Amino acid sequence: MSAHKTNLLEKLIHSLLESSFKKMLVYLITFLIFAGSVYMIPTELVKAKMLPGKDSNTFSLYVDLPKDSSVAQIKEVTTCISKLLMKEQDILTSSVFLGEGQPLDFAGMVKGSAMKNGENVAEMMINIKTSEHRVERSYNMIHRLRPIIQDNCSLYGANIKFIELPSGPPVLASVVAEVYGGNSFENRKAFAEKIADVFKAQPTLVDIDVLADKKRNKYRLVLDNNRLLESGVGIEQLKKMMYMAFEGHQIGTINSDNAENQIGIFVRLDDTRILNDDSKKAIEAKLKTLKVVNEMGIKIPMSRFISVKQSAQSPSLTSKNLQSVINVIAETDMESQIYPLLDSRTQMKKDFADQYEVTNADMLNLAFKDKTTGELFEVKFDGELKVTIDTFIDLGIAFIGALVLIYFLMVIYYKRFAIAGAILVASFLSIVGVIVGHYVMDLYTADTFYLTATSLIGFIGLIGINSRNSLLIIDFAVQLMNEKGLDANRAIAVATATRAKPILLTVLAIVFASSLLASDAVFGGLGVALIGGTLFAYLVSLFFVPLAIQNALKKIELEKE
Amino acid sequence: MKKDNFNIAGKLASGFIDHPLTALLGVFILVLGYLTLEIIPREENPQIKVAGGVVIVALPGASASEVQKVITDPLEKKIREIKGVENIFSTARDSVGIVQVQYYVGQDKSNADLKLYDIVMKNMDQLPKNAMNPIIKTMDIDIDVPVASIAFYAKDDAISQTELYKKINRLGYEINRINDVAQVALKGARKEQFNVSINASKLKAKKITLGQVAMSLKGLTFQLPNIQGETTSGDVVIFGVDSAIDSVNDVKNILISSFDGRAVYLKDIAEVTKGDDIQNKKRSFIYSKENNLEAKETQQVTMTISKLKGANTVIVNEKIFAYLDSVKNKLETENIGYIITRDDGYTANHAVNELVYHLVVSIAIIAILLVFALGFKEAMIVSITVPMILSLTLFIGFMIGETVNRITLFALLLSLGLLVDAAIIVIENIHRHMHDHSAKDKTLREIAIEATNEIGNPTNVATIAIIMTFVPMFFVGGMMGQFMHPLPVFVPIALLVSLVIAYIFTPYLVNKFLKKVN
Repeated sequence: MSAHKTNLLEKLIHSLLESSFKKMLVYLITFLIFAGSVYMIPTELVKAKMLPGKDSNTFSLYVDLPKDSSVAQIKEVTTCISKLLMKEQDILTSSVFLGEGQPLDFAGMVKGSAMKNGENVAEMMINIKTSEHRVERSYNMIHRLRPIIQDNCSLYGANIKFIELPSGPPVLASVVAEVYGGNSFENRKAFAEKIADVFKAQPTLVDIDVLADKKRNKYRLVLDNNRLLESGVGIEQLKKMMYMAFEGHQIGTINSDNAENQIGIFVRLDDTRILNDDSKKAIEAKLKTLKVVNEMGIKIPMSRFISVKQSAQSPSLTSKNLQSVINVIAETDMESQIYPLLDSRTQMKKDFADQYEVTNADMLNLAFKDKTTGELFEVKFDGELKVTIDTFIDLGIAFIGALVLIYFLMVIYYKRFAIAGAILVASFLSIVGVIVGHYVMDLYTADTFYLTATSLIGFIGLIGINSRNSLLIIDFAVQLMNEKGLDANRAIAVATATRAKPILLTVLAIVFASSLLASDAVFGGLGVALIGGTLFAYLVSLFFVPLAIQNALKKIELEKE
Repeated sequence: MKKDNFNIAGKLASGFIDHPLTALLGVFILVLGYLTLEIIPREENPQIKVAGGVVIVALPGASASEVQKVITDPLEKKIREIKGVENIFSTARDSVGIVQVQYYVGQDKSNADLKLYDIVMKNMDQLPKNAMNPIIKTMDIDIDVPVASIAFYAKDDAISQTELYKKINRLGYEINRINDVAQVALKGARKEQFNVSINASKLKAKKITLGQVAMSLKGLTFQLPNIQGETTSGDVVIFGVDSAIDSVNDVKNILISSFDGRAVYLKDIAEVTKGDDIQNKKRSFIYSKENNLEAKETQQVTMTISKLKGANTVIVNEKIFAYLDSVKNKLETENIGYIITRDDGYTANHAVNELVYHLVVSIAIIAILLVFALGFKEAMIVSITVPMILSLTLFIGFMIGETVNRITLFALLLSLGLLVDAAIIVIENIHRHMHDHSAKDKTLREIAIEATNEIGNPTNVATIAIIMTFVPMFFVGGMMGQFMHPLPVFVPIALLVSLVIAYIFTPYLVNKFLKKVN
């Protein structure tokens, strides 16, 4: 039975080789398929992303309140969140850390989790059931919970961010817009707010935050040095007493045998230190009740030496590589970061055109010039997008490197440029299978199936795999010509038909070995690339490779004669 | 055909086909692979070499823009002198400047740390007056990222938070003794402290100032080392000043001053309690489900545990949790409960086991495919070579210091489709030759060697081609390059091993188990 089939295939290939019209037809069809599949990328029929989301048994929440918030306020927010979370069947525990970061993890390492300090920050570590005990994937759960939590618990101006464990290397955020320039911090911040507004208009961007302090009041206590000198009160003493009264001071420690630490003695005023309200008067009133003693032993109220002045707390100034910067960050919600970012970039160009002259800087970055004041701003995109672009460029170079290496190898082996070129073109055609494979997979999966970095790795691997198919055919054809004296066309047809079976076997082996990979969240792209790529490569080996090597083998035949 | 005419494939095939040790070698490789899988460190993600650090300089009283001018900007400039620094981030706040340094991924950590210390120390003299000593914290993924975290809590508030801290801190020392445990730290711990809350109106009534209170407390808690006195006979007598404060009552009864001829004790002007560190605003809670999805809030102390570099997370965590199990009853009697909130060992093990399971299923699927295509015995021969290839690959990986993680297994899964190919092609060719007319007069042994030899060259070249496609991946930079690093390491190894195994064992097994059909 198999012998009969072989003959059929052999006849078909032989007839292709004999007719130049049929050859042209095969070339044309190949080109159309190639162009059609590549066209799927710019039309977003197949979408690209660095790495897809990863299902894990834990996720985190970062809660940030305005700088002047208290522990009690942030506690209220985290309690609200925890109560809602506990209503979920799949959520087991919620560990809340107020005033500091959670136990550091892969994601927190670059998000500054370890540096967190202060009453206005909190992190929550949420444990959910292990994957075999739940149906919903963690990223789908976050997608569902995010609006519920943010709508109900964003009290006191809280910014609540959902942090997932990354499937690849961690980044500050999916989308980071670094805002440079501006004549002052305030201008820069105002501009950053505008960028944030553009992000907010994007339906797939969430957890948007401008990483800059909000303006807040500060009271400056001005000491009257002359009066202090006259009345003989030490300045240092006064400062220390003020600190001890309101903040408290650990005056000394006691070593104890049955304690785990030195026991401190902490002194401060009792609840009478608490101010009535946030006003200048309240501070002045409190200062009147506190007294200091001078050199002569006379007790004088502190208010005598201190005048209270209102001013603004100076905001934290951030810079990157010596340039002042304000970061605007956002996460993507079930979407690749590439598309919303490109959309917001277009939107920025459109929205800001009235007030600014917008020019393209290097890469995707934008430069803005205020039409009236001439103030300059620059927006640089960083975060996962930059990692994605860098990775895709690196992988692209790796891919070209692989092509060049294989070309040289083939030239060394066959000592003929034409054969090496044919092998390379045939291998490259497997990109059709890769793209179509992703398209088909996307049709069948609930979540978007992205073309990822792992797909690219699969594609690079395919080049090698496919050149083996060609090698097996060419080697055998040459052997048939030399040993059995067949003519070039016949030798190619027989060789292709004979090697069709082992090639199909190896193709099927790869397809089956990769089918389990295809279901994996992260490595799915690689699996699908291998399956689609090798299947298409099989067709290429049968119908394209024989035509592509025909001329070269005919030359060998002629040289022999 | 003479042996001299054989290529590597033919030589290996003819060399091992009758060798008595071939079978033994096969068993040895399989055992080696199994042992490697058991002892090789397991991780979820491959180790990424990241170096970096933070320099914190406090300048009390300075405003943010002052701090930027005199601390962060000059510091940033100096740090830029270091080779290998990718980014410098700085934050200037009121009274403090923070400079974060990020090296290019892949820089040697200890070298990078040293350079950072060096540059900061060298420029100490340029720091402004009043600036406090810079604090340099270098990043260390292995120590900083804990592999396990456990939330401890007091059951029904039966013991105080400080009591809980005392017990858990002790427990921490015990866990630190476990092999390969690097650092044990506590989050949300409440430390014991005497809290003196001074009543301002009473202070006023007794005509005492805060300063006086502070002075008398300071004096009492001032501690001296032991005094070595000498006697006339030259002996040494040791005596020390007792702090005389042990309990709350001792603190309460500290004499502050006298008013109207009557002594004023601390208890007269302040409330003294022995409690926890109230000035510490850090708190931690754990919410769990009571019944009917009702949230139950408990204050907790989280213990975080990290492992030494290169240690097997799975084994370290197993030991930690086994130890916890052994003290569970004791903790129970002390009214302490615990919940494990992170177990990277489980995660790593789970990920690795799942992928190993995928590997096994894939091998089975390929075996079934081959049964239909080549026949039962041939399929079995190919299927036996697969675990051998994987075993040897893992062992080589282990020898060059690789760990088993998601990416490693992903590399193995990727190579799986490729590495059976060599065996399939060899056996298919043997199969084809056996049914060929010209093979009538030859023995099975000769056919096996010749068929292997015939296919040797194109298979070698093709395998080299695939290996070559992975070589440029070595040079992918950044975190992603580090992350993918097991791919260009394991795929080439697996493919090379697959060739050797295909050439040695396929002809051997064919010769042993197949019969020539006429």
